[in-house]
Amino acid sequence: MTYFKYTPPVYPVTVTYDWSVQISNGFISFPSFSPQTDYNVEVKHASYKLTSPASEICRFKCINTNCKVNKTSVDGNTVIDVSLDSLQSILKEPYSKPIFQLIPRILFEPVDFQFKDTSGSMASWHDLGMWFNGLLAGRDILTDDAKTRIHQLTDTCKDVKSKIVLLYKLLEKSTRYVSIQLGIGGMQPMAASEVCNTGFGDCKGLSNYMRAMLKEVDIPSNYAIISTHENRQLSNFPCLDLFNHAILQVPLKGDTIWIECTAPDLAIGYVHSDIAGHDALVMTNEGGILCRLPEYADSTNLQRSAIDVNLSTDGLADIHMSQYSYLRQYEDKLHLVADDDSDRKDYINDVMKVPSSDISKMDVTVHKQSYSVPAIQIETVLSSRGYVNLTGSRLFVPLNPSHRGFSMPESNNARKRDIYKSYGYIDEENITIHIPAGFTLEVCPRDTICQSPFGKLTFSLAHKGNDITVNYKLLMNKGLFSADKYSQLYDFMKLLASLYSQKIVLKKI
Amino acid sequence: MNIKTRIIATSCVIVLWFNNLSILAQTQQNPNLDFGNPTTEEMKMTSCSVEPNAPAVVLCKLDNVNYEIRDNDFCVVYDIKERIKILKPEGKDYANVSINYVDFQENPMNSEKISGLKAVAFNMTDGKIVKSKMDDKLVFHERLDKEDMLIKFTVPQVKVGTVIEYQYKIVSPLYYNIRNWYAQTSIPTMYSYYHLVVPEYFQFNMENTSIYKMEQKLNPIGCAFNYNGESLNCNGCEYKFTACNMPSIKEDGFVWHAKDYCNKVTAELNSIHFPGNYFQNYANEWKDIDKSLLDDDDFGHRMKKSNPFKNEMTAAKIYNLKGNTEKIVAIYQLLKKKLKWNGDYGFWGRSSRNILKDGSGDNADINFVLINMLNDAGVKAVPVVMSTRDNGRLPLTYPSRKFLNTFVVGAYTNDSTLVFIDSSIDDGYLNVLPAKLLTDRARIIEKNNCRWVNLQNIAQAKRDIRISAQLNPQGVLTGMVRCTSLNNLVARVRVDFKHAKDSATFVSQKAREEGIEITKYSISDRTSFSPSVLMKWRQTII
Repeated sequence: MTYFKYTPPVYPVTVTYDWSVQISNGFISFPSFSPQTDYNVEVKHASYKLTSPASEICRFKCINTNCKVNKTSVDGNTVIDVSLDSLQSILKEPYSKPIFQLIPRILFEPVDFQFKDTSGSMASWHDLGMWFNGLLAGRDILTDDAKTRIHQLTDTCKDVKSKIVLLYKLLEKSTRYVSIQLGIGGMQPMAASEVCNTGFGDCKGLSNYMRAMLKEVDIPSNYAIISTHENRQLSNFPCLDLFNHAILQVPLKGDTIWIECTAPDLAIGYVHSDIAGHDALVMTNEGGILCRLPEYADSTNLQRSAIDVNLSTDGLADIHMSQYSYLRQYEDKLHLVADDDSDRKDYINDVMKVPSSDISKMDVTVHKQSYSVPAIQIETVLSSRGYVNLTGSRLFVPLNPSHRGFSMPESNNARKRDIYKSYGYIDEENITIHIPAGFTLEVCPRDTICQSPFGKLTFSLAHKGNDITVNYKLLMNKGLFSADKYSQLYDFMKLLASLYSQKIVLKKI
Repeated sequence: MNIKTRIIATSCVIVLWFNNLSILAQTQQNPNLDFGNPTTEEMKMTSCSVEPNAPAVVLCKLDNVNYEIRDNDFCVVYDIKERIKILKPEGKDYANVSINYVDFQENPMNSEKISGLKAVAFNMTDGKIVKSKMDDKLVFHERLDKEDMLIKFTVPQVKVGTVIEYQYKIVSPLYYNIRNWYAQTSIPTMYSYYHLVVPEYFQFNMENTSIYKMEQKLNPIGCAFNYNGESLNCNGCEYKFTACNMPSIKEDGFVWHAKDYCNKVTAELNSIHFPGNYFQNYANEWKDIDKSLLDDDDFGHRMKKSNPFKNEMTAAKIYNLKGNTEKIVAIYQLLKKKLKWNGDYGFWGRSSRNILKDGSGDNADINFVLINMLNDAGVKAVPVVMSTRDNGRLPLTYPSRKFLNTFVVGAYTNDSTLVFIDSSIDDGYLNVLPAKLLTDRARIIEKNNCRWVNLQNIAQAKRDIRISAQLNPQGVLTGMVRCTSLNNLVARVRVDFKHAKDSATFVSQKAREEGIEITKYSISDRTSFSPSVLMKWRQTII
């Protein structure tokens, strides 16, 4: 890496730098043109010129821009030039698309290419896959020892899916992830035997190793590349620029399993958020195929909490919460498993609206059965003197101790970009508040349903004997909404905040 | 520091300083010192008795440090061996090892060299111990900066239950520096042994900081070297430190520097004496360090340089200002317009010509210019040297120049009152320093009047909040808030505001943190060099 550090004494300052890179041994892509690099960066002028022999066909694709790309012929060379002028800086707005989906970018790609003793074509995804198959060829050979171990482990097992599970567990037990940038253009995986010998690999090496193990027990699988950033590939413009990760596809009858080999602590069959719904290039024997990974419906990313609030007459609240989170919400909380007590307490204090709480229990259990919906269970017990307010003969009791943080900035200026909510979910709480002896319910809020394009919250309350039962159910939708709806979103969030902070009043008898 | 050596053999008496008088023995039952042969016990171990939740544990670490003569010059040879047991999946990270070493980009001859690196993993397979050696392909070198390199390697075949071993040697021509030895690390350490032999020519202040008991032994010993084909014999001193069952040590909230609380042995050069030829005394007392700093070309002499911004100060009529405080404030603001802090903290100053040419420098560079400007304007100003919080506390038992890593400027507002300022400050005021510089022991380097100062209490962070609010019948509380922040809280507000990039983001963060709705926000003195910031806003609590 080359770096240069400079602290300008005064601003504005002009920094000029130029460099040249010599690439030998061929290439699989031309440098792309993307002069705007970040938020708050304005571009006055930027230009790009690519000269190549006329025999070398260069394709290009404009993303987030409709600028004109000129192609001319000079002395038997093809010259492509393009410039971008006066690009306004992009301001960061809440709930907007990630920056790389907003900035202008032009990709330049060859059609036929020579690269480190290989040659291939990008005329179609099919052809690109064929070239990739060449990189994978012979990389799936295992040693006899490894083969014996695999057979010992799986031969008694009749069912294909159970075999996959056993081998996935073997992968988890016998390897670890280490980032390695070797192999052809960072594209060719480490050989399976090498991963087996060293016990580590990167996403490519581990995926290929898993493929080799499956092959040994006659389960065909396909190596696949994907992007953790870009959900869409350019279907009519095959290229390798937009990929950064490798996974494995196991096509079974009527069911396709996608395996993330880099995070084997995830439940098998669960498609995690960095790849769910993204396009992947799958290397089948017949060539490359662009496939889309499945994605979970908003309503299945569920978090369900049962909360029990016990109050004493002097204002002490004992709160017990049993919370189950599924799919995306499971993934978001997975870090709690490895977290120590102090990190767990920080987390609980962050999500619970219980001031000065004393946390006496904070158990985290993962429920992951292969091929089923994974869940994480949190059991917590906390007590607080700050949760309810005791004033004279009345107790003011907030209804929902969980759920903090429904606020967002009011837009002072007109919202520029569309509103983008990257995922949807359901949060449901069933809360029981036990009225302490000597008190009776004086005031309580009315049942409410509040609906907007962004989601829906239903709130209901029932009073029976000494118990008050409360139900909150919030569905948040994912999606792209037009910029003019921002004030509607703001009002919706404000309404949510007020509904989540409702109180009841208990009065001394 | 430039030390040239020539050696003539004679003998002389060794004087040694030892601070830890409570030599108490506590040894582990038969540590396995045999590298290459982990015991069945070690292989079968499933948790660490010292810390049952530890992800991994250091079973044995042996540090053997000796002086040698190579290429007719002394060097320090570190022979390091370490055996680690992996106990949990997250412990596998301890198989990715990084070692720092000094490598001068512009003087490779005088750089440290690492040799003999070997790493092995031991796994139990079918009741037998299987050994996997690391391939040399998996060793990488990485440059960190002009003087430091990193060697990185990854031990193969590491699973839960694996025992790994690695060993290497560092040959260091920096014979005047002995690396610190730590008996503790981020995982527990069952057995750690430090063996150091120093020939009589080198006198070090040895400091043993122990919270947990360590066994220590000190013996006179004979040293033999080969110098130019001739044998050279002299006396020396052998140190042995043994630490057993050490718990892990980790950075934590409200702790300046975890290693301050770590069992460790540090060595600071006191003098070098090659008999009959060369004697250099480095430090006996703080006053010696004071003197050496005041006499140093890159320190004391920098304080006496002329003011490079005379014309600018005349133009700004700074010389005409009455009070010292006004002068200090005006000079600092002028300086910050001329020179930018480059983000680094330093100790020695470069020449002001070079700093002016670049228009930027580290805090030491700019602080010296500040001292020159203040002195020129008739305000007495001096450097206040320290070890920053993240560099560890200064040793209490001996004076140390090695630990000093930066300084701030102390300027006199009258004959007896000092205010403190540092050129790394963009958002504060006089006496507002970033937390890392607020140390309890900083030393004022002033000719004939060097002394200690506690910088922790120089200015109180204060916040004054006044709210007038109305409650409406729907239970909504709305009101105006006036919030005045002082001293270090001023810096906090200004820095937070900068990080937020614009006021909308800053306000929304604040609203989120405090669970309120904010409208009509205003802030004054956000960018000025002043002791307070006033924020006003209208807030609603639902």
